[in-house]
Amino acid sequence: MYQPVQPDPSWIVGTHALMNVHARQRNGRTEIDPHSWRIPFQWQGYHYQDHDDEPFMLLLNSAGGFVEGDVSEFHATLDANTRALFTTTASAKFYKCLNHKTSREIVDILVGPGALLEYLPDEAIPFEHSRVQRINRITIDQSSRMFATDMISAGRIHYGDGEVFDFDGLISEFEIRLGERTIALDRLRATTPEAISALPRLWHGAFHMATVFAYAPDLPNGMEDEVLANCSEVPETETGVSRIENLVILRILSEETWQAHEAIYNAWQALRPAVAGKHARPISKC
Amino acid sequence: MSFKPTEQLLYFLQVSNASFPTGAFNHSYGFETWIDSELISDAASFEIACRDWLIYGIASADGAAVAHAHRAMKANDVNALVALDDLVGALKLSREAREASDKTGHATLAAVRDIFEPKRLAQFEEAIKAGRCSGHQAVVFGAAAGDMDLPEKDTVLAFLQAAVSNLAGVASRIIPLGQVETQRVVLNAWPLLLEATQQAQNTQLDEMGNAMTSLDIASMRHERLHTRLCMS
Repeated sequence: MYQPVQPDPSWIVGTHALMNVHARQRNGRTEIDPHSWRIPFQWQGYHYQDHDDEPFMLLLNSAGGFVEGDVSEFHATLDANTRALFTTTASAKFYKCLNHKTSREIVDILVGPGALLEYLPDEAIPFEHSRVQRINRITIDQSSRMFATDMISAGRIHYGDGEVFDFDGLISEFEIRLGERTIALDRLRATTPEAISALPRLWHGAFHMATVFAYAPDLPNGMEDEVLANCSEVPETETGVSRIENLVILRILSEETWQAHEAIYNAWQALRPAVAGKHARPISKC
Repeated sequence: MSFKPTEQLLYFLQVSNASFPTGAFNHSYGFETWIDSELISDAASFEIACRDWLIYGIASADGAAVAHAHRAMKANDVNALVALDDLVGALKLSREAREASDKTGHATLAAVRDIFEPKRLAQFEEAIKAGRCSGHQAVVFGAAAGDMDLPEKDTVLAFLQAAVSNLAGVASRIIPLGQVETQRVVLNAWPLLLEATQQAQNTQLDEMGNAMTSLDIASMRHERLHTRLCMS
């Protein structure tokens, strides 16, 4: 049952953003209704890039990034048998937090029975002295279909003399739930100087870390091998793919942003026919 | 079964010994991929990776799970054990890592049950048999010790020490390393083991996680290694 999330009166205008949408079947296609949104999120509608029944919605944060203490919440509910793709207009930039407050990004998506979710946001970039908490949760049904990505950069890699792993705290969660059960949880906590300084070793010198989760109740055998073959073509990128029942998980470490993007796209090319019944095409964002 | 204080150490020495039938000596948790690709080729490179694994891979995940399982069993809360077991599995993003934890968990459960006859562990075993959860090693290890009223700190330390010792054993076989230099790596980890134990005990359920993305990838790639001496 769809229950729209309402803004709390205590939220500070301009500091606590909300976008709450509901995907439903109407007029022979999936349409997205916006509910209870607050600035700096802007509602700009959606389009049908694939010229079929699946809307593409771009999340637009007009402020362009998170300053200290900012919170953004994106909630989406996909009714049974709907199809929707969500992406962002640009990377999520987390600015410095000199007063030790944390900036928070919350994404909570509920995917109904038989529904398809494609979630391909741009990367999160924690700037120097930022304090970041990211909570991403996607809840699917046994019969849902999903392709979801997450990407974190180490900072502004090519800015000035470089600004890499200079944030003051990063907590990032990406959780996939099947009904009531968590079936995959990528939780990274780097909240001490020691933990942050260890990340270059733990990422094998890479500056970008990405993860792809794909689920379908009828995912063909060998899909994971095809994903790995596609991603192995990307240079200076370390990738691994595993399949646990009908969930495929891809881990990516790369030196450059474009390499992680390309590995994600290559994974989408391999998986989209099985997950969404159509081929991947570059997403038009303007 | 309960133990006198003088016997507690003997329990931990027995269950963390390589001869205790858990099958842990068959698992490299992805390290075999790094050894195969020569990212780890000697004692020094193994030691760096092993120390990172201890602090950033298992202390805040399986290590914390041992502490929480111990507490849940002391509170006789099987539902908490089931939820914890789900969480432990979900945090393992590669199939082999999840299966290794599951298989060694089942072996540990069977061995502890048959040898020490703990009283309340059967409830957790029933939950596993009913398909409510998998029975991951960290959860079984902590729950068994909690059932037998053993100290939580010693339980976590014994688990982490056994993990490092087993991994060192695997490394000594497949790098290969000399027995003395392998044991020096384990000795050098003593201070870190104590730190990791404290970290594990202080990690809350909603803080449990794993920062070793590169090891996840190694574990995933292990599924496709041409020559494999380890199951994971």
